[in-house]
Amino acid sequence: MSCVIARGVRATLGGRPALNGIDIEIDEGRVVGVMGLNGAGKSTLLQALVGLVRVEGELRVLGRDPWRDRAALMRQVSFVADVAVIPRWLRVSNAVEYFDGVHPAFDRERTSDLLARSGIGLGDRVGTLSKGMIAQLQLALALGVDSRLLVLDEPTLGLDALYRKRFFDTLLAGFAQGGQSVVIATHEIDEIQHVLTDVVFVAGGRVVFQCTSDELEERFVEIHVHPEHIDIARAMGPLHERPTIGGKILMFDRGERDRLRLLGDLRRPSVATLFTAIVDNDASDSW
Amino acid sequence: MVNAMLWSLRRELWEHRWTWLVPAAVGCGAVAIDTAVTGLNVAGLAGATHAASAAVVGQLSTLLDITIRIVLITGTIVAFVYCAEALNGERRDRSILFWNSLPVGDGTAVAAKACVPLCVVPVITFVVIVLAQLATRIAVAGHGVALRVPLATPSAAAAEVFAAALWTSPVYAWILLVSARARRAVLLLAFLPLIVIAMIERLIFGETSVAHALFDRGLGRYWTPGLPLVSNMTSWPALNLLRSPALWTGVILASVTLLAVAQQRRHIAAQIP
Repeated sequence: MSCVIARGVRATLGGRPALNGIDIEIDEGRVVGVMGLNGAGKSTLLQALVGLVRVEGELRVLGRDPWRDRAALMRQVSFVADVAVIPRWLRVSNAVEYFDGVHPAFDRERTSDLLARSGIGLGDRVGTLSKGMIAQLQLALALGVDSRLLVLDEPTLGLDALYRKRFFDTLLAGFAQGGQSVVIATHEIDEIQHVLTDVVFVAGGRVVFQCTSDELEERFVEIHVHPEHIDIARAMGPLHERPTIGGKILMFDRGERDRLRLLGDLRRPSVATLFTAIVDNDASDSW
Repeated sequence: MVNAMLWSLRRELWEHRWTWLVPAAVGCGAVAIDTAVTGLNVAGLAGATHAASAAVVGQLSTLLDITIRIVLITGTIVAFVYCAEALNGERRDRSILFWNSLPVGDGTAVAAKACVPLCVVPVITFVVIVLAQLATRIAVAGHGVALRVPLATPSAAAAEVFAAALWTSPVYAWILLVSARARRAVLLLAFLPLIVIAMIERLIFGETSVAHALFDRGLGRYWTPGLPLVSNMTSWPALNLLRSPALWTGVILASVTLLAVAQQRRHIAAQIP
């Protein structure tokens, strides 16, 4: 069953088009990574999923119209934005009380447990916490909700590598317990690549590429080609090439692996590398 | 929905503690000064002539009246400032994205915000007024002095503060609407058009009805230059107000404006970069 269905979704923000006809369908239980350059429309898409942005076209999340039924929808959806959105004056205890008060599916003990593991005290004020701890607080609140869909919009923006790892470890541990669907937009997609079931690339307000992780592994391959073999490799129709020390790295979509192996070692490209290749090529709807 | 609204109101009070701290602090300060002055003066009344006593009692009654008006005016100003901050603050610090990640509708959130000037501030004001009267009565006890006490009973005080809140509700709702739309200088943007309209009316038609209406719906109810203070506040001034169609027309206007505020709040998140 699909938890998100978007067909021809368009949105305009400040008089400028932010989404230009998004088509996407996400089945329940999937973990979807959304990647895009700044201003590509990722945040607008995710905010539209939780009813914060009005869109044209068809958009259903868990069978509801997010804009019209936001309050009802948010009983089943958790949303985490970047660390800057949680008010600095708020005490952790206030946040937990408030979630407990307004959210029928909130498990206070679970959140308290996650907070204790993160070293965050209930008496702490958000303004006194580090960015990393604020991110952990937001995640602890979101994971405390027994939701069917978790939407994360750049949740680790501005965090250092250690805190990002802690954040994603907590997220994955929470996800393993709950079995929800997850949609996550992040620039650090490589750090969670191993748990993604799907990747979606957004550019210019459109989905320019989407596939499952399995498909990604089957279709794409990278090879480091020495200069003397570059013409042979180019003749095989690479998707993208980039310079590196002592040659070039070429990426192929559905390349002939047996022939390519003769030119060098094959490897699976990272999601970020694939993203760069596709955006560089200004990929069209044919993807 | 009621539960969500009560929690939303609670979070407004967490965020804007000053909405109850400032009226309580200013009110208690004014009451303390009034009580001290009253206590010192009534102590010196023993052996004074009747005329001198009557003069002092008149002055002390006026002082109590001014104290209560200070409490009421402070409440109104605090409510204005709160309304200006209520939605604009959510936009400024982007916290609306956090609050809207919860199953609380915009209508509920706006209703909770409207409850601050319409319920919370009046309750604080009422408590301070009753405290002022109680302190004054204790200060004059045993001296055979009867002050003319404005809003003399708790019911009269309660009627006054809540009727006044309803009377001012269109202005509160208007400021909330501007707070939802404006990016900065909310109070200036809320009052400037009204002031310009009042000036145009004065310059072109030689009338001041807009200016008077604006002043009357704001602080004018407690600040009437030229009128004796105690006389119009001693009994039940709110009764006339509650009977007036103007008050209920204003309440309807405020309700419609609050619906517009809820609609406007829906669009704030989309305008945040």
